Amino acid sequence: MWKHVHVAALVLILALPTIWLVMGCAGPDAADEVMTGDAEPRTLGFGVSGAELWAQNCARCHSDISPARYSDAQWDVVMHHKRLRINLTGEDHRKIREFLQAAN
Amino acid sequence: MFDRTSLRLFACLMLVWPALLAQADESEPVSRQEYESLRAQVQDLREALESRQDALPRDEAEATFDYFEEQLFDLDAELGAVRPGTSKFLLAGHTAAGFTYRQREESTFSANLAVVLLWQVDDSILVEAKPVFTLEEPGQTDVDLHYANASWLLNDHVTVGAGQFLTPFAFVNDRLQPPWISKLPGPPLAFEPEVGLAPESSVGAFVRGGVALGATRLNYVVYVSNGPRLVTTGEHAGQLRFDNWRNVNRSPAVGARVGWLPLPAMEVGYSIKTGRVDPREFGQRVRATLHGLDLIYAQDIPALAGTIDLRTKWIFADIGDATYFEPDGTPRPEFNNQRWGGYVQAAYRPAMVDHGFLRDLEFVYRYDIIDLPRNAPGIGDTDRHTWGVNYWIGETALFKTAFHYAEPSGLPSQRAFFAQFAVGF
Repeated sequence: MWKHVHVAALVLILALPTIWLVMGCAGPDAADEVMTGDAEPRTLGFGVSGAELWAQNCARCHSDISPARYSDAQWDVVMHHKRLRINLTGEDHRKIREFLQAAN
Repeated sequence: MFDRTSLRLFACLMLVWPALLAQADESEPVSRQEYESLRAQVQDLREALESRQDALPRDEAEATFDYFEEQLFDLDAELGAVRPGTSKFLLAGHTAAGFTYRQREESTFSANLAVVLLWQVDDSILVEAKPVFTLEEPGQTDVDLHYANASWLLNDHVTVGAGQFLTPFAFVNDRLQPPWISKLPGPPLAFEPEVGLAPESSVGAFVRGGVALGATRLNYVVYVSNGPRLVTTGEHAGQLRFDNWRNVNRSPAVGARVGWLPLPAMEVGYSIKTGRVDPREFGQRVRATLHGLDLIYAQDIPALAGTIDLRTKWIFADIGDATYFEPDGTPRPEFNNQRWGGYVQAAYRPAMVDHGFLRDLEFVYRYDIIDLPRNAPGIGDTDRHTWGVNYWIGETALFKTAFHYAEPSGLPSQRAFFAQFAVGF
């Protein structure tokens, strides 16, 4: 069994630099921006704006959801729920929520 | 107060009176004719002004002001009737309807509805619950509570909570389970409940949060909960069951997950859960420790004109030695009870191409494997390949089709076809 464990761990460890290489294909350096179809440019590093953080954190698990889907009060609740689900920091949580409430 | 005509008349008066006064001051006398003429003019003006004032309707400005004041009063009353107060409630959820065809089995349609109830008591307290309704036997509906807990945001980095919560183990169950988020119709093999590798929900208390670590992010969850239950007899002896809402012994389980995001598009995590699993009546002390490794990566790649989404999770269960018995009391052959399983999944969606139909397609492949102890009762080792094509019809709505080919150890190979319509709301 431990042979398989080691193989799996090796696969995981090898996957990391592979993905880093893919990242290299996506952009020459971390300052470059990646276009997301008709959405705003998405930076490779963690964003400082609510719009960037929204695009980056939501897209890891699911497709982008339009800010217009919920009202300000509803985004309050949704973002509180999402903060727990993906363990956002308080600062990131506030920035994303404020962006969504301004953009809806 | 006055309309334009009244103001004109008043202005004329104001112009005439100084002339009269000036004339009065002059030493030269006016003729009787001039005097009478001027007097007549003043009298005419006065009468015209008075008649105009009498003829005026209610002052327009004042009327307009009164009208708006009345409207504002009514609007305020209407808003007061629907003002939500400080607490906020949101009803969300997801639903899925599917069709399954399995080789050598009867095909079937299925449907389920999950309702997510979110109640934000105030800015720091959230109550969340998710009952899932699934069609089971004809005329019967199964209701399964996936979570129901309350949490409190202590500060920017710490949240505490208690209740039933999705177990943060390899993050399939707590993040990727909704059918509009999972890219294939069924769960990975290692996460199917009958395999007994991955805990779905736990009842207990948790502390969780996230911190910025330089240019990266780190997140954590630590929890204590009712422990898994070891199946001690029958065809599933040696497996774990996680659906025990009461602790089966005096020792609760503890668990944790640490996730690290070196990039916004990537998260890699390690999970652990450990505790005694022997039911009190079993008479043997058995401890189990589960380890999990996970990685998720989703990124737009202009060179590929689309988005790639990679997910992989691996679970390793180390369950202590025990002697299991047949229903008639005969001891079963002993086995080294170490189990593992996992999957690798890759998806590609050409989201940046110009063609609208192609842009909404998504292609998915997943490889599953579970490795179980030799001589252990129940299902054997299995590996499975699944290919899927999805069509997105909205932000949270898609139609999924998939075909899988599985090779269970000691059994004929299995082929199955799935179709599913999933909507998140």
